[in-house]
Amino acid sequence: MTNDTLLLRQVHPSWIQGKAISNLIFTSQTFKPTPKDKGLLSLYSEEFFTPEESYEHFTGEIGLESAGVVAISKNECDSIELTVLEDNDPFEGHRSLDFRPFMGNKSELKKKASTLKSFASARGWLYVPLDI
Amino acid sequence: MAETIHITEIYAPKYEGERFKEHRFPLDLIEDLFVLKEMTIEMAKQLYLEKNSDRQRIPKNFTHDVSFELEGISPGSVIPKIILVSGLSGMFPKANHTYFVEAPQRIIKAIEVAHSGGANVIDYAGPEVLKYFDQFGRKLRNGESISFSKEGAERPAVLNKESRKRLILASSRSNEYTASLSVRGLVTALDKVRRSFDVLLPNGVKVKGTYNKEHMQKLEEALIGLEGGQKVLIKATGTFNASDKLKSIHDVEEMTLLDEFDVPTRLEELALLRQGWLDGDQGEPLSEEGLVWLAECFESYFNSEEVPLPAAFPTPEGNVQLEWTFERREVSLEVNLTSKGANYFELDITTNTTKCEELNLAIEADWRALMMMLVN
Repeated sequence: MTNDTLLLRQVHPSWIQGKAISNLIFTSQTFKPTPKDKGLLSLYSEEFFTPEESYEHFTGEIGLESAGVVAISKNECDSIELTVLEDNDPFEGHRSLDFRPFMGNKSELKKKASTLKSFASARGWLYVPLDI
Repeated sequence: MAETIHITEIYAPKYEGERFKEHRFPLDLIEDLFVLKEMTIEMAKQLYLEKNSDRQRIPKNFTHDVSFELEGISPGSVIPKIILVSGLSGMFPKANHTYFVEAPQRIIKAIEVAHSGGANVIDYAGPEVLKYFDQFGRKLRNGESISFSKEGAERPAVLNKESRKRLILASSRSNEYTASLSVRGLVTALDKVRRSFDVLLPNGVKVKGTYNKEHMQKLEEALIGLEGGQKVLIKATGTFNASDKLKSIHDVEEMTLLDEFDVPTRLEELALLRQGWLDGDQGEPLSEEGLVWLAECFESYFNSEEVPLPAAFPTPEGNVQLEWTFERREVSLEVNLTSKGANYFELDITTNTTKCEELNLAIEADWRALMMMLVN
């Protein structure tokens, strides 16, 4: 993994709003671990999956819903003191963004989630299925 | 000179609710007073026939020399005071006077029975009288009511959406009732010959409506915008069945094309989320009551001329997060639908500085504070 490696994140259908792709907005919660995540945010490494492949894997093999794929780079994660873990668990190419040191600090979690949203928004959507 | 008229106060309906706090009577509701007059005349006729069982018809001059007049509007929410002015026969009111004085009491009794959930409404007012409730009180909104005080009664008779529905259903053969409504949806069809349209509501139900010429252009624009998700807000009268299912829309008063980030529309969509909406295990449903509250507050206090509309998202805990992206700021407002408190969070992405505030969105002042923070 290099500093420029993109880490792909699936966006839940309830966490997007807008009709045209140029105006499709996603929430900063996309980059905030839910209670079930236990401080580790799941990502796909672009070294193993294209955005479309990550979408197919997430909605097919894992069986969860996704409205599309956005991304942040390893460098961007480093810049806000979030470590990317190359855990390859539960599948090869899986990465975890480690929020655990900040889980007790709500404001810090919001700050990091908002910053990551800003990075990913600037990059734009990497994959959106046709039926969205 | 001897007085030739007799005056009796017959109604002092108290309009209660947010709209009446300023003690002004909305012109929209003027029609109520006319309908109340018509209903009272019908009730008086019913009383005449009840008390004169040998008669088949109402005397020709039954309503002669009787008039209903608005004497004034008293403060205390809004109370239009309605008097009965009747002519005298010698020193006494004419014989028909008694029916017009008793009629309001019977109507008020029917309202009281309907409000308390009683099934015998029809014992006090027949179907010909009750059908007037289809128009009377039609424009009452959620949380609004009309109270009628009765001498000697502990509690007033209250006409609200629920008691009005019971009164109409008691008279309706089709088991339907009408009420004013405000719906948002997609226009999916337009029939210019029949002047009808189909609207798809957020819950997936399609309802037919009829329209007048003045709304045709908006309907056409909405239909053209269907592919792009163009939604409309329709304020009209709806016909509902006894289970409150909307059957049709008519008497359209207002048709507005909505912004794609219209917040009340989005909140209606979020109301459809079920337990586990996030991934099966996580995602609490959002309180419908809380969403209605937020939509109403947003419509009242948020000025979209000053600040762009936010995107609105559900949170895993069953609350709502509003988000704005400005040139150099990412702003979120997490609204607790139960406590009505909110956490304002702002990140300046150029300086990496943040601002956090706790707000109480149950009070107007905090909405003003929110607007100030968003504008700056």
